[in-house]
Amino acid sequence: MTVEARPGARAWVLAACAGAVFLVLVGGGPVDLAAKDSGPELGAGGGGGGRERVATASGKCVTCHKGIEEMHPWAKIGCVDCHGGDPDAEEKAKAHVAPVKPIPNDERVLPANYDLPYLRFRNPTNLRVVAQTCATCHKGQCDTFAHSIHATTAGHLSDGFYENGVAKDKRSAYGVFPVSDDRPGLPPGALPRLAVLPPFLGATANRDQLATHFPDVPRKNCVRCHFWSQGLAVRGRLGMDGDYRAEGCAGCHVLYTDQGLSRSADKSVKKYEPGHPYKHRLSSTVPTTTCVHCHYGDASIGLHFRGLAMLVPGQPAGPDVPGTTPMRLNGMFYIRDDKVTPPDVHHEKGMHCVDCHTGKDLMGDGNLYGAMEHAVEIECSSCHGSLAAETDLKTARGNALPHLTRAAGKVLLRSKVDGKEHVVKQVKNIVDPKHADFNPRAAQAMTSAHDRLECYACHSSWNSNFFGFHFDRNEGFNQLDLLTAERTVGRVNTLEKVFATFRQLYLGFNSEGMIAPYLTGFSTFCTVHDAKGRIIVDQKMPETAAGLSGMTMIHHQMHTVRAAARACVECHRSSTTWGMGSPSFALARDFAYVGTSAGMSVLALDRKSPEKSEGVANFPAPPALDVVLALDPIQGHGRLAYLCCGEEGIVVAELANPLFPRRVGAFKTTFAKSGVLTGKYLIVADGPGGVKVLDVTNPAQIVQVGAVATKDARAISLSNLCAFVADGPGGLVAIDFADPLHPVAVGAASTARPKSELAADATHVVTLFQYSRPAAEGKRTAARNLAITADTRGGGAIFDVTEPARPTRLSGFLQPPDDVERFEVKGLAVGAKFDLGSEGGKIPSEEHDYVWTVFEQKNRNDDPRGYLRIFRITNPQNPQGMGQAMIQNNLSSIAVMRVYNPPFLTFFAFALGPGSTEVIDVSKPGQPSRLAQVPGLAGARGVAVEAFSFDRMMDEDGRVLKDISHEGARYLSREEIQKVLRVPLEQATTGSGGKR
Amino acid sequence: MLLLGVCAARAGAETPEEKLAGFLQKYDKNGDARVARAEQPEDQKEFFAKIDANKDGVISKQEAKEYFRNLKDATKKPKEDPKKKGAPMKRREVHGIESFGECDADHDGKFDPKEFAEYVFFLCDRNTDGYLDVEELNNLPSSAKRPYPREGMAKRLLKDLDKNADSFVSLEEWKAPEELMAGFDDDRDGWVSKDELIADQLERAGGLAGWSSADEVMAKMDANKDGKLTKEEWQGSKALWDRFGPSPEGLVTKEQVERHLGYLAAILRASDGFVQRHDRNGDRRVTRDEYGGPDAVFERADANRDGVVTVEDGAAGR
Repeated sequence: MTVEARPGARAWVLAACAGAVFLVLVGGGPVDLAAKDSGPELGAGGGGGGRERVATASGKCVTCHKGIEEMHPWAKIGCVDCHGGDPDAEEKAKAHVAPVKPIPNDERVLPANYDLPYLRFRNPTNLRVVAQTCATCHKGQCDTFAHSIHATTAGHLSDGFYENGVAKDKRSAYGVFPVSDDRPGLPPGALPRLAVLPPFLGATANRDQLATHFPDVPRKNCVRCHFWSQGLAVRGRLGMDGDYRAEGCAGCHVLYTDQGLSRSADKSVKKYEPGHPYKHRLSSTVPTTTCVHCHYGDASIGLHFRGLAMLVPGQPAGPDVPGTTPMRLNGMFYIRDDKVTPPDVHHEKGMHCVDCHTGKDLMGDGNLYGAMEHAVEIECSSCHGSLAAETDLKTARGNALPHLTRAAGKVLLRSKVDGKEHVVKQVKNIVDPKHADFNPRAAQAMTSAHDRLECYACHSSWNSNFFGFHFDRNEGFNQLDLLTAERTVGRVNTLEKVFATFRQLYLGFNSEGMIAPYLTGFSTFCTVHDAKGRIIVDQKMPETAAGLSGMTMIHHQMHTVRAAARACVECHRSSTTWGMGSPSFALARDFAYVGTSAGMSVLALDRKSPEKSEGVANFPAPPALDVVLALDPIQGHGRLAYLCCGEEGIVVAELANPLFPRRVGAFKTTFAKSGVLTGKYLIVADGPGGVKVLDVTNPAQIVQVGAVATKDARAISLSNLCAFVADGPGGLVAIDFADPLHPVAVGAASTARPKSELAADATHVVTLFQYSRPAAEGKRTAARNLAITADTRGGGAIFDVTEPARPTRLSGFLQPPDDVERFEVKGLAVGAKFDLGSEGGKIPSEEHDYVWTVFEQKNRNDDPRGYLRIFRITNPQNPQGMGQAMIQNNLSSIAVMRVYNPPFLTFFAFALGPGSTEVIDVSKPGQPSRLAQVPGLAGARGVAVEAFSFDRMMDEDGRVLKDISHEGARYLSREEIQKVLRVPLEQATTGSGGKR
Repeated sequence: MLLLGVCAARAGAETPEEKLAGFLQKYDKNGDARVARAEQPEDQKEFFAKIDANKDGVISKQEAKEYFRNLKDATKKPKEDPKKKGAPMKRREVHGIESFGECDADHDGKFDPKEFAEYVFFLCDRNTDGYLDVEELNNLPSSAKRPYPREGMAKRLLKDLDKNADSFVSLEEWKAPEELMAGFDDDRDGWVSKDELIADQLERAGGLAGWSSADEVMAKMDANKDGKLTKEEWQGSKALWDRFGPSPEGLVTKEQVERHLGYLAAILRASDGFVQRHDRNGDRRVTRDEYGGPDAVFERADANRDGVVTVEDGAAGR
């Protein structure tokens, strides 16, 4: 049975309430749910014999509770029918049900059999007593609800356990309470049982492992979120605006204001005490504002749907800061900016969660499911139909949608909350040139070739990815174990996160075999402090039972649907989308490996004070111009270092112990200058030797397997299965690496200044894919793949290499002045960054793309000087110079390191030179700050910082690096990605409305 | 004799003032009593960084003066009657060639004749009294490939070098024989690099010089490709064969070769000065408290999880 639609005045009131609450979120003023209320008073309404029964069952209750609203006007039910107690008593103590002992008024999950008479008295819809109350008439729904994910918390718990290396099996195993389903023939995804979370007995053994400590997290944080508990906002607890709710059936069906204050006519209710329902009345029309009393924060869809997102750590917010909410809800301000986080179009049109989600979605169908995708039956096609046919007015599982009708050739959805009718466009008509709803641009994309895409793969307008959820467990403090109600050792904090992006798009197959967006889930890395405050686990990444990284993502319906879809190129020209990573979300670990004139030096990084980083080892080898690291995919530690040693070729050092690097192989090339590693292939920029492909599966027996002749390959960057080469006089060269054994040069462009007579001399190249973002008037900004180059004569340039065969120069930056004697760019680094704005809001917090450069300049009659300069390339056609710092001259390279010192992310640049290595804080792009020189790195030429890449799910060979916690879900294979990336896009657009 | 041992702080007969004068004469090209960035040779930046106290890139006269004044000079000890010498100074032993960096005064990655001579002197001065006696002179290091003739070595050196006839050779009197250095100078460039010292160790370790892996060794020696070596197949020294610890059947496995190579390489390529730099109590082990740096670094360095970092961690897990 689905939630009933209730038209009429009551429903109108609730709709007004929802609107008022929404207004609060955008600065509309305090909440006032009751514009009008004409509901009957208990005992006053109804007719026939039922009135007498109600009167008997209510007795003298209304003597004190005069004015109280009738909770359940659809049937004649008296007070004690639900609450129990003595209706004839005239004293409160005798009329009420007393607790056996004072009830603990906190967020713990009470035992299933805890003082049932009293719990029934407090809330007859409590799941512990519902069999005696609501189930008397609503047995079917009550039985299914107890098995629903809303009650069991199943996926939430088990995903975390699997990703963080505690559980060996992907299948959900745990719920808040043990529950079983012994029926034969369970449908796909259904489980026979869920066990209660195992007790956490303390971290006594293997204390240096994340998996040892993680089980403490759900017991102290996660299990309070579902309907066996009322959560944090218990009655009387102030300051929990936006969180107040009931448990059990009333969790949805009894409405609370954000302030949790009662407006009931019942005079006995304390109107100043938070934690009371708005009125003593059940509602069968549940507005979004009720859902979001749980679905906020890390349960982010409730935020996204409304156009809200959590703040980035350190981000200013508040009434003075544009683009954020003016008032706190759930104890927080939020991002609210249509250019960043526009609301879901369904919410914008006035629809509520329940207008899409069926009763079975929310209250279950009686099966025990371990993942949301198995529990939810609604699909976009349920209302919008498919390419082949209009909707059949049923869900994907064949259940009728009574609020969906067809009339006069249109499909209409009548809101369950306010009764408003919405016209539902049909996909079939949108792609039909003869239909009035025809959209030619949509018709280009919505073809059978995209049969395996979820609609929201393209139509999710933004995806808030907070890469690097971090939990901190501190054994110097205690915290309430929500299941045992004991305060146990270890306080866990799960609110920390490292990176933030709203633009990026990541896709993979969901467990239904459809391509869907991926979002960071329950993966966490962790730091643990012992009782003395000493760190015993230091930013350790999780590993799953499959031996893969658990620091991963999971497919998600973002609830950020907008009509303007992502641009074609965001799937078809971006390997980042499919999980091959980007330069932007790599977290520095513990060591940097510096190529020097004596081989390689190992630098131990001090994350808190990078200027105190110390050289700890030297690896004798021929002079190394660059270092390429093979990284351990679990922790991001260096495993092998490939030194590019000029005419000595490649020397390989094994880094099992970074203080004792050991030579394990070598391979002669023409003049190895730099390289990139795919997985088993090292692609070498080999100077006059062109580009060489080396199979490094066995570092002791390296074999050349491919080559492309170029003029003078000096630097190389991989993107979209293409290698972009800074080729000296050859400029920028694009090489197709779809078949690594047979690479083919496909395009080239000069890096010389336009209209200059000087030949190109390209020395550096980096690449970055820029995703589109929401723009004005429902449009989106352009998406494109960029290659940023440096040329000794031409300075810096930005190329659009979305089509590698046709690199197009967009702009130049860092152009040498005319009157200098010498000017040379010595290094480039690129990446995205979320800039924190100013407290007063004058400087906005925004996501930008940056190029960090080091260059040398010698003016006439002056000493040569070295500089670090930062450019904002968010608009690559108009790069903006930001800050600049003067550093040592005689530079050779730059590397940017992203360091997490909870709760903030900091950016540091290493500017290398033969004399020393400088450390510069570049966290504020407008104000780079020189910190110090790191001693002991004489002759530094190039550097590789070991780092864990949060968005690299696989390498370019297709080897999967990160796990997925849902069975059946997977990333695309390399062959599939290659096929997607090579789809011809002659007719495609960039997303800005213009054709390519 | 393995090239193991301590290398005390570099010292010379010059006074700090003389050193300062020599330093300025060499580097202060424009005579303004300071060494600007442009005057500092590129390949000696590290050396100048040590002198540049205020890190402004320029060496002032005052900075140089302070630097040379603070240099420890082990030979400043008064010349006592050797027979009346007291207990030897506490010796810091170094395994591997960790001391190379400490003795490479100009930080160019190789020893010139003077640096080499001082390295050998302090290496052989086992009792750290600042003199080489007969026994110590009899144990000068010798290259495995081009050994120096030891017969009557001490007598020859005493005769040639002991100017004051006290039967001891002081650092002032000491001059390393040219043939001694030439024995290590593989590429005949007049310098002895760290690589050359390492190569000598590998050579001394039984003919494994230049081999980087057990796979390589097995490919060369395991004639019947059964994954094990017999004594007949082994082409290295008997001493190394015995060190492998063959099974009762007289077989050595690839893993045993791997373990030995790893240990040897770890010792020889051990972090340059890490243990010396942080080992405060001289027990050749670095504890977490002694290190004082990031915990994550220590955890990874302590490969065998024994709570201390030693050269054995270089071989652990390999």
